[in-house]
Amino acid sequence: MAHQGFARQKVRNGKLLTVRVSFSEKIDGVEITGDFFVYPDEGLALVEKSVRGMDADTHRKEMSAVIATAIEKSGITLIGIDPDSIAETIRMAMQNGVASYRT
Amino acid sequence: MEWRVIGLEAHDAKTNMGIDEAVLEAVRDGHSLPTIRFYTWKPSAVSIGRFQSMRDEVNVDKCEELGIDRIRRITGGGAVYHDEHGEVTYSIIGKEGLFSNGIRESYAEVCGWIIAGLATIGISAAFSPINDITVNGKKISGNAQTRRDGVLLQHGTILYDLDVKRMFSVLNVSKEKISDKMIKNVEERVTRVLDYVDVTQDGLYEALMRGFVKGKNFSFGKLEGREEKRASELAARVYGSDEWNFSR
Repeated sequence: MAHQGFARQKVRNGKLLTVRVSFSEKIDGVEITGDFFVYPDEGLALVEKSVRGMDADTHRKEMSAVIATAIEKSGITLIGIDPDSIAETIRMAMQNGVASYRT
Repeated sequence: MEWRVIGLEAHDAKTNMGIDEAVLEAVRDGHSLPTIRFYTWKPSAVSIGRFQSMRDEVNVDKCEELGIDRIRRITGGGAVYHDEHGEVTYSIIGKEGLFSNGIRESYAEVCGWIIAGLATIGISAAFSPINDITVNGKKISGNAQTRRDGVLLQHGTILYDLDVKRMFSVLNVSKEKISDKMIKNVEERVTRVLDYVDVTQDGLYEALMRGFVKGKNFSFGKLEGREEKRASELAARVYGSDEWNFSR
């Protein structure tokens, strides 16, 4: 059964970060939006792609490490968000998704 | 280095964004000098950052009802209500080598030009990282930058006047939040040129111009024919399209 989740948070000393996630046993897709900056522009799609296919129960720290690796490999610069805040918001969105499914 | 300065012009949202990108391409290809532009938005518009969701940020129906444009920028950052008579917008476009190396440092450099301009009309402003300018701790200017193919484009707005209720009517803030308390909160966080000095919108533009050209070799110019043509194409095919504006 597919789930949809949504979460939004203001990153500490950073920008507003919103995540929409669809998942079942694995993460099917993630959309990241907000008032942050990504250089180059295409970098955000690479970040979204980096978590696709991960197990849905992947720990936040592991997810953060995967995102950090993708960013480093592709020479992406994030301003106002970082791998930790992205992973944390994805986890929050997944928790919200489960909750809304159960209700 | 010689700069081209394009004086204050009013355009609709898709044309303004089309011009900025067309100039970026012309600078990249070596056809145009690094450029400083000043513009306003006619009709008034809401712009959202490159990575924002239009439906999350903008009351699209209200924009249509009020005849207000809505558009996605090429740059990151947040949603901005650009009142036709309430602000002056600038863009600066040049090869990256013209500016301080780091992204944060180049924000500080260009924002310094705005601060210098405001100082000429007696407003003491300060750079507030990442991308804001404040007066007495309140935001008066927001700025956004992108870098593409070795070219830096930064645009931003300097708030001249502010109609908070109108701004909230087109930005997607829940009705519960559009309370007197919320409006008061915005007025505590945001300020405008008219709070400090009795100057016209044109007077603000002239002040900013002084700050931007200070110490530069420059001449006033206009768009080249190829830039105008490309800007029209981009306005029609990209910035006027739902595919771009609603891509997130």
